[in-house]
Amino acid sequence: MIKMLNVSKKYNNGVIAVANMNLNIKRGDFVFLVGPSGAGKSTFIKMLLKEENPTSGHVVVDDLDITKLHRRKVPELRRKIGVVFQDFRLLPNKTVYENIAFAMEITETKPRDIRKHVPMVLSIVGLADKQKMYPDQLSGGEQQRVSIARAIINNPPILIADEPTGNLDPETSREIMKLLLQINRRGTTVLMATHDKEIVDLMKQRVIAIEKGRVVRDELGGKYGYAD
Amino acid sequence: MRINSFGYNIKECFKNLWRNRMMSVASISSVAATLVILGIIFVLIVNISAMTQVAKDQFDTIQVYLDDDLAIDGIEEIGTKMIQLQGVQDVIFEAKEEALEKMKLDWDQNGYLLDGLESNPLPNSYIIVLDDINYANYIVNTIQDYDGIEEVKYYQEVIENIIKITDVIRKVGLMIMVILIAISTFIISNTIKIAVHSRRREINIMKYVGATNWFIRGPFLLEGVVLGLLGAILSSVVIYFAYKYSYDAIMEQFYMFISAYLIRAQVIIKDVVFLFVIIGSGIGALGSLASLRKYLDV
Repeated sequence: MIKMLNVSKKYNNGVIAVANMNLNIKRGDFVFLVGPSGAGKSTFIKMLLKEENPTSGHVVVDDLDITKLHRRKVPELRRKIGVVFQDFRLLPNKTVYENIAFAMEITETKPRDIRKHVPMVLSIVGLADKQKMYPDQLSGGEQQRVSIARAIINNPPILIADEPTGNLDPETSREIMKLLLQINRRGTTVLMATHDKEIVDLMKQRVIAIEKGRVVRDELGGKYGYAD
Repeated sequence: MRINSFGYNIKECFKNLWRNRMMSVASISSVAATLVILGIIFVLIVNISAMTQVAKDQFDTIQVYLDDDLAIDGIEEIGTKMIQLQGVQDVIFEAKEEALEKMKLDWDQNGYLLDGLESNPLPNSYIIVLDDINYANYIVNTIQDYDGIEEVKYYQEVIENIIKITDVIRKVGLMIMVILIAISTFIISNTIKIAVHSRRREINIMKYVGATNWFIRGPFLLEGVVLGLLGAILSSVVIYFAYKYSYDAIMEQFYMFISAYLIRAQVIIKDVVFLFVIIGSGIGALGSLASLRKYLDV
């Protein structure tokens, strides 16, 4: 699903964020991306979304080499990847329903399909009764659920979560993880960058550790491996 | 963009324009000012062109005055030579007696004054009717070299001057226009920049969800075009009333003398509105695209 072939990224200011990285994430995998700040996790995610281009090497997403992808094809790529952020990034002046519907409107879905799909996704994330509320009326966990619902509404084969539990308490974090695992079981490849040791150790999934732009560890059922 | 999201976009667009109303007003005024000046130049050129056309039609004859001591043979010889020149449609001979008669008629009640003349001071002349005004210079130069010609009169200078003035107005106008259009585009692009900035969260989310660039640009483009169109409407109104007022004033002052050649306000305003709408929305679109280029690209 996601392949990195000899990928390096050097920024214009000389910082080498990713150095000769090779990775293979298969369809349906659940992968934790761990490592200290500045290790290259963000650059890695940005390259998947084609926000940044690798200096050398190839990035393959869903059997498509995106290294040479034309600018006009980038939206198509991003529709294959749902993204969840630490700060939720919901639109404050739209209701829960509208926030999710927004993602479908953007991809020019028929209104009839929007009306059908939004409640379905809301019930998956357990917010069926809160669709008329605004983001500031929700708890952090609920807001993150909305953002997950928005990320999966267009049924992307890949879900990237960039520290989705970073702003949440442990209890809520576990709830969010349950939800992500549930989404993964439906066939979505999930890639989650995190600093949350407890979560990683609890989930026993594949862990890829990055340091100084290199993969230093890649193990199934792995541990967080850092002393926090 | 779907049809049913168009109404939503229009609503959002006006909401944004109102939210940044100071910038909106600045943008609309700058477009309007640009267009008003364009309108003045346009109106001037159109009217001068119309007048030039009238002048050309009136002055498409050449007067050839002959020496008084030229014999009848010589007069006829010149006549046949002239009719063969390229660009000449017709040659009409006017004997000095005829010319005097004409003058008397022209002088009307004062015509009796001419009766007191001992001899006729007017020369024999030919009037050449031109087929093509572009040959005028060539004809005038050729005839001047004939023997027995006293003077060749042609209102060429009048026409040339009018053409020269039109040209200057056109060139200076174009220069002013380019500068003003650049300024308006810049001001609109700043207004749109603010709109983009205030909606950067939304844009960011749109990008991640995979909205195409045109989908994101659409509402801002619309905003720019609306600003341009509002400027166009405002300036159309200004030009219409200013022109109508000037037209009426000139009519009153000079009556038919000049105003016969002026184009009526109702006629000219159609072209003005058409021109303004195109240029106004063009400036708007250009301004927003300029700011989006910088701020929207990933």
